[in-house]
Amino acid sequence: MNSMANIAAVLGVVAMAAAASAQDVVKERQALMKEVVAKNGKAVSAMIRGTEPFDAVKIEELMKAIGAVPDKFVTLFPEGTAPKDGVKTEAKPAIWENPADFKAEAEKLKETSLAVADTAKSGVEPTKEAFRAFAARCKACHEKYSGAEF
Amino acid sequence: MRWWLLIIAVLLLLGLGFYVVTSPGRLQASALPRGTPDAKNGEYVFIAGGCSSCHGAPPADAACNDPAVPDKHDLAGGRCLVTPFGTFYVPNISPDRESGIGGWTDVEFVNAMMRGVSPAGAHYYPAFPYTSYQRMRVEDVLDLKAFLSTLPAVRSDVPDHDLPLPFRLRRGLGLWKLLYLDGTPYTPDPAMSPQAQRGGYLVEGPGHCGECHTPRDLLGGRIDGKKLSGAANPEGKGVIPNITPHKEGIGDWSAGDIVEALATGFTPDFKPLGGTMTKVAENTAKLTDEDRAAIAAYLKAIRPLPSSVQKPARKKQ
Repeated sequence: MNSMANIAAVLGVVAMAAAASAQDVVKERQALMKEVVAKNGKAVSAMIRGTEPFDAVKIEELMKAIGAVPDKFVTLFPEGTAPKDGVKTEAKPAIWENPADFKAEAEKLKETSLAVADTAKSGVEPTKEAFRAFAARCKACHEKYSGAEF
Repeated sequence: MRWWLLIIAVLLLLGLGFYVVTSPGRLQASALPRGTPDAKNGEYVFIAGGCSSCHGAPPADAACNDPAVPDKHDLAGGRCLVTPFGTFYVPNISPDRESGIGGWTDVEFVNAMMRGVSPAGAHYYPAFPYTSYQRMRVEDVLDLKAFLSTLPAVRSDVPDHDLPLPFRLRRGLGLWKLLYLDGTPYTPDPAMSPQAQRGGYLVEGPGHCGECHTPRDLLGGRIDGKKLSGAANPEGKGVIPNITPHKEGIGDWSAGDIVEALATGFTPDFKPLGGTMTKVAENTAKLTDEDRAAIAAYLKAIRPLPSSVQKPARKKQ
């Protein structure tokens, strides 16, 4: 009886740890989106619209930081972090059903954000156009893979 | 003694009166402009009108009010609009001859779009925004028809509208139209610049923005004096924003901000416009830069109005 209780306790702790770590993974991927993509996107948007002074160097820096997110982001969707695993996440089951397409979307985010970084030195108008292509990626991916009201 | 005969006579007269007063007003074929329609312009009108957002077939296995439209050229209908007046099912407008509009004549199409009358002479429910489309140029409507006829014919079975009893009497819409369908084309405000006037045509005609953004009265008609000052969401929760240049609306947006919002679907704070508007922006993104600028000029030139429906405090960033 004692050993059964021991096993139950150990399993319980392991399950809790797994749950805790699954939630950590969710937090990490949300942070990448909120703290890097959304935050930097907003700052660059303000510069393009003219509410902040247009700083090509800053734009390049901010957009390169966004460009670094997708490669890391796609690694943060292991088994056990899906809604069906009881984890609190905005991620849609489709991510695990269509992993190749999900990665393709991430790749497009990387491409378009780095394109903005490259274009920044060419001035406002071309950067505006490149930024529109980047901004279009948000909805394209979220529509399929996220319930987040970003 | 023959009082009951008198009552029957009065009822008959009232019935006849009702029938006459509610008879559909229609344009005649002879009134249509001559000339060859331009399907290329028709495609542009299709985008400006956002027709696919309602008439586009919903994804297979999705709920009928799922906003996603997988194929903008698959106009099989079937989407539903859940409103306080009941649930409306959007019809098939593909060139299919049985379940779509294949075989409709030009004047039938114009009367549907601009007078809300079916080829059989029945009134359409104003869930179909003909009160906006009545402002369009007939040439644009004919060009649109030409474009629609180039799209794939898709057969579909769309359910009848699901409406409570009083609203099932289509003929009654004839009375509603007396109040809300004046049949006049777009009248540009002479005080506005030509650019803003063009924007006004797009907004009040094919864009039909007021159908969501203008508040309605108890009969469901738009309150023109409160144009574009926001409204309750006809599909339930939330508020449709005030887009007049008032501080409670988008007064703090520049014309450039409006252009960018229409091009990207994002507000100046890099937040998505949200809800249905994100879908609208997919279409406005395909307008010309000039037309987006025209819409922006119009929205900066209209009367600033306080919000018709107060929403919970918006986080200003």
